[in-house]
Amino acid sequence: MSLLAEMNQKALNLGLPISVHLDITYRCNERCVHCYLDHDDHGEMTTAEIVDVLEQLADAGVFFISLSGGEVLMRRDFFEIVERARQLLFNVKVKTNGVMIHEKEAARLRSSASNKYRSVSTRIDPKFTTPSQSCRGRSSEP
Amino acid sequence: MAEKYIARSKAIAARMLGGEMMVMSAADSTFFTLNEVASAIWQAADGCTPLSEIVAGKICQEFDVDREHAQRGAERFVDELSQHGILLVSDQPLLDSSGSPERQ
Repeated sequence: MSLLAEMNQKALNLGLPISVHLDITYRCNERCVHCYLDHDDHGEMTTAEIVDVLEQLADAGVFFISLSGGEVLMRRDFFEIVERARQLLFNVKVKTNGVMIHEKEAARLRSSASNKYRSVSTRIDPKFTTPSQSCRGRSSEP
Repeated sequence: MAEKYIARSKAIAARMLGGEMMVMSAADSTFFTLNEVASAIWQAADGCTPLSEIVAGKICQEFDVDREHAQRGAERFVDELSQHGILLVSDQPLLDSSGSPERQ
């Protein structure tokens, strides 16, 4: 059994939530046809509330955390949230459509060891014959 | 022999799970499970307490082990974790090591 499988089994035995998926916003800059969100304004937690949730999750024994949405970078406090998550020693995965990641954001993502991410995942659209067939619902291009 | 000071790297993910510390290096995704003694050394790695003091003041007090044996084991442990970049080792105090509030 691998160490990771062993860890999962131990967490299961102890009743600990080893992995959590946290949607930090409903907002998104895309309207993908396959998306399960309605994109209506349901409100969202404040920075302080999310940090409080992160601290509770750390205390509860959570090791892996996926930050998703909506599009996580629609939140102006995104980096504050993810950096706090790293300070709390979570293994952080960020799910993003990547549209809002430019040089500055990319540099911040990779800049320091103390803010190192476990992974950033995005999606690459399949090749469509015309722009109108894009699964994103509206063009991301300027 | 020169004194060693040890500090936890911030480029890791870590959590205490059932009395053992689970540590993953962000640099190479190496994954470690630390036993009770190793976890105690890990938690005491504040960058300013010498390793010999951690061994004498914590390990030998809390576990049934003689000082020489514990020191040798601690040195091996520190060397191994430092090779994976998840413990920082220096012959001087590592003063910038206190910013990572470890949660267990």
